[in-house]
Amino acid sequence: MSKSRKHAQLSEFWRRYKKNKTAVMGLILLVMIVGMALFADLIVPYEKCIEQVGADRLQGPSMAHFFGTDEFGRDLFARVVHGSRYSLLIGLATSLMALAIGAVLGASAGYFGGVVDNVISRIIDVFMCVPPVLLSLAVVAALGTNLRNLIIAITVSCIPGNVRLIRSVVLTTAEQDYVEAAKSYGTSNARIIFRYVLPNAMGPIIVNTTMSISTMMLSAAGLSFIGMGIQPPSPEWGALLSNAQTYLFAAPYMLLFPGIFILLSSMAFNLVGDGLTDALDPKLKD
Amino acid sequence: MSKYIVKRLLYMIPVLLGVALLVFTILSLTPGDPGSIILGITAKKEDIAALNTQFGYDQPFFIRFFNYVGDIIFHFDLGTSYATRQPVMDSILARFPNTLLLAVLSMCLSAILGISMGIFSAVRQYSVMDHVCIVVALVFASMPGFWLGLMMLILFSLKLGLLPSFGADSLRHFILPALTLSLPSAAGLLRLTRASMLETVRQEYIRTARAKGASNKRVIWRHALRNALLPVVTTLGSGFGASLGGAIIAETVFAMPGMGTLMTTAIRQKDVPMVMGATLFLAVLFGLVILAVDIMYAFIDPRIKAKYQNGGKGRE
Amino acid sequence: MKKTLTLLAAICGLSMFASFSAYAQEGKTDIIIAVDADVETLHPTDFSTTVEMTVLNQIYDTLLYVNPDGSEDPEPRIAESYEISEDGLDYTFKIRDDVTFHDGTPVTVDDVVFSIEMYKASQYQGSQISVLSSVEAVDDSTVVCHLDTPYAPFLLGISSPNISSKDYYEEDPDGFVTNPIGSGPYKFVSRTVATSLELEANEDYYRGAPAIKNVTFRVLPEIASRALALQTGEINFAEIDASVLAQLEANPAVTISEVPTSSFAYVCMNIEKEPFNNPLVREAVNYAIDRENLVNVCYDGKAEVNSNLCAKHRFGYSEDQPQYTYDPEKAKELLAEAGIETPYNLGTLLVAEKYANLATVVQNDLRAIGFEMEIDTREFNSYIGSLTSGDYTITTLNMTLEGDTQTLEMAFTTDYIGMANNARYSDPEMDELFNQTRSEVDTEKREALFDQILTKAQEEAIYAPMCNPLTLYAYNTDLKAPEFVLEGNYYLYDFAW
Repeated sequence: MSKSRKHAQLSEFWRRYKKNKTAVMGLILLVMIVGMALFADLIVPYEKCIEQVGADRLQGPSMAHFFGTDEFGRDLFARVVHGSRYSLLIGLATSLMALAIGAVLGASAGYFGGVVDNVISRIIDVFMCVPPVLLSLAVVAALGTNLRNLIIAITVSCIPGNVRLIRSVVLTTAEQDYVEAAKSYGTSNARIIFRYVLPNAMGPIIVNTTMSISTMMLSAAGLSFIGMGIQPPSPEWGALLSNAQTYLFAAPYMLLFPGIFILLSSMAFNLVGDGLTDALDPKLKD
Repeated sequence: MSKYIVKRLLYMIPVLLGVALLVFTILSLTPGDPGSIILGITAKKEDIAALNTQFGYDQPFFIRFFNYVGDIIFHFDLGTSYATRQPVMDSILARFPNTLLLAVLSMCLSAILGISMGIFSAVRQYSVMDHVCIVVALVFASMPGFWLGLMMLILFSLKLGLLPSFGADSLRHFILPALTLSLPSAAGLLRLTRASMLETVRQEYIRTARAKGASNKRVIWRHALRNALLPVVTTLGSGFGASLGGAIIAETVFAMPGMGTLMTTAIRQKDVPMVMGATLFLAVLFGLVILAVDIMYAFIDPRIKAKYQNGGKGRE
Repeated sequence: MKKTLTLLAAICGLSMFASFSAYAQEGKTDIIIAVDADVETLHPTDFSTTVEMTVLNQIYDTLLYVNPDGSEDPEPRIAESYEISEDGLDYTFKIRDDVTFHDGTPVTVDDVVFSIEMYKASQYQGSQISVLSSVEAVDDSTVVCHLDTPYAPFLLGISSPNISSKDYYEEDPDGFVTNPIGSGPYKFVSRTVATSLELEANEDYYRGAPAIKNVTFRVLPEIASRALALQTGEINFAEIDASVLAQLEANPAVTISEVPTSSFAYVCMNIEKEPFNNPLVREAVNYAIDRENLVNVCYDGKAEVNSNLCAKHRFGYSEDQPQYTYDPEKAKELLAEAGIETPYNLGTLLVAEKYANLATVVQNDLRAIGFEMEIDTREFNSYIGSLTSGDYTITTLNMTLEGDTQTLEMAFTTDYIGMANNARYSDPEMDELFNQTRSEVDTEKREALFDQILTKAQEEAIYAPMCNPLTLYAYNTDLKAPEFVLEGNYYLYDFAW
């Protein structure tokens, strides 16, 4: 593919994406949230979110503390702002890792077929039979609770779905003429998979990954909520909610703000995912 | 057809063995031993060791695993819980009805809400109501389930006093947990149904039907819906599995004695027989549900039925 | 999106204005008690949780009742009197002849011997009377316990075994566990797994029929749900924690009792590792912690500040034993004296998930004197593994060493390294002192020995104890609850509406 053709494709894609107003809104929201995570230190120093002021415990929202304070007297606004780093990191890291592993396994299964496909598919069948939350819980229990293990646990639980998706996408792509052509030239298998098959199966994969970031953020919050999250005093959003549950009645605002931010970011990824679906698949928009 | 079902049922056996090995391995990687977990740090080493021996926990990994699997196959026995010293099956059967009821209720709720609103939205594409539906669905789909549950708990139990806050005594106790579980998945179904309907409407045969002069209503109900529901049914099937998993969180929020709370406690106590038993139990159920969905598929889509009758290879 | 925000705001707004309704009932004879976990077993000796103990306490009776703070003489129960031999090796109990089990059969000396032997053999409870060498019935109303060595707190230990029926055990060993028959004030009725357990009054109880006739224990693990259920009248009595205190205190229909406990929250330092092998550093840690703040943050003020491992209500405690107060400057001086250059990296502060709050505060306080560390949160079982094997440098936790002050030996003596002596402290002098308190029957001498022990422990700053959390009971104001004693064990026999 020549550069200019690629460029033309991109601008055509952007033109279609732009037409979708909600998708653009989602993108703006996403940029804002990512911006908040990137520039968290400029918004409010990290020191603020671990600083404990005993006298200020459990204060409701005010001008001094926009989102109030928690039971340690820590500023919740600072914690929510810096928490975005953890939650986005978890969402991105798990989705990308699951994508990478899913791509290798799914593409191998779909492309080679036969024994390879059989072995991979049967292993995936086994994983699919265990509820994902349970699998994550068991993995965290085995490895211990910290950021890295949380990411591993969630990744493990969503690999099977990715393998299945990529396998089926590759199955359809691998039958296309250009792949047959490449094979006849004697191109290596790995090259065919990464050069021809996967890029052409990219549409559904990109959409799925975008949407899965949202799902992953929600599952991470869920695990944190039942106390299997990351180590304190890191301000991950799910962990903030888990704390807030204890003070459900005394300080409901503790539950409100982190929840809204999880909701907004997860919504942003969903909206962008929707927008990508429509933009990549123009036939839906005639 | 029956040949196909038998084949699928037989296939479940190696899958279940795989599940058993997988969970058993992960559990054996968790640190600690049941004796010291139950007796605590003030206990004597001999007492802990004696208890571990009593549980058979002093045996090497593979011996424990084969003993466990052997007991299931030859004695149909899921073993005795380390923590409760009661048969695992009893604990499961005592809690499973709650989880099943919760899962079924929430699946029905999300199916009714999701599919009907999805059709409604698709039929009135781009109307105000369509947009409202989409936005509401998006919000619910983007929400952490437990957060929704806690918010509803504050509102309906504490503030309005309309619904009980915990337990599983009556159907009323299931309303909030079922809503917690079903609203996010209903939102997903709404989006899926809508998209699927819209896509189907654009297919050739629908255009043909329209061209032949069939009324709009007839086109939607007779032709479009049937085909549009195919992907929805699959999602619903795997959604049932997901709601069994999601029940873990809903049960925690509403302090409901079910499989979810049973398994979280068991994982923390390293109660291997309990975790294994509960997981296998759910895996069997999950396998059966997937099978049922595949069979349902055949009824909705006659093409697939034909494939089964040719001794086909399942869904590939 | 704006709609969502408005909706959420509405939910919040509503929550600010709604109020609670109070429930009052006349002539009530039943009670619903929330407990945090299901009863896993009703075996009279092989139980392990507080909930199980609480339920068994209502169904079974014991030889004696001993107040855990040791302030009063033992009260007679199934044993109407007792005698201790001169050498402190024989304990003789006279058994009442008018006590019957719930199935109508009388409680005999054989049942008493059987129950004590079963208790002694139990992996779960037996260590409490490990000094017992044998127990025998000398006649129809007398039971004698023989000890290996004199053991001062033996009466407390022997007041623990639940007296159960030997015949019933031999007839129906399964029913013995699942459908217990005791001689206590309440009879077992039924249990619904994971949900509830029902008891009814034993009208023939030898101390008179109880006032409360029907008892339901409901499993309700979440504190927030318990608070809610107390206010809606779904339950009558529950243990709560400080997180729901404000809202319950505001409700006149709910009364709260604060009960002292001997359990202690503390910082445990591994004495086998740098830099905590140096007593000066341990002292510095003791001075660095703002205990008042910790009590406010982690217990909402509902704990007694105490830098001594021995609770204030326990035998052997004295205000004169050295105490540590918050003094970060002194802490820094001590570190300088010990030759510690700050900032000093301690590596990780190991903590079990449920004590993460303590760790968060302690990390903050220690940072102020120049110690840097990461918090490493673990699942409880993994945590216990590392803790008991000494695979950590510093940790925060809460521990309960109930019973006689003698139990503190588990934290201080060489024999308990690898169990509850998590500082891994080993000192022959300390071991010897605890040997003496073991057999010293003279109360005053024994108190002096404990004073010596606790003074030594404080001087060497073996641990950095922080506070003794209070147990909080919340219940309907109409309920007449008794005065709760140390540790907060309760007997429904003492309750009435």
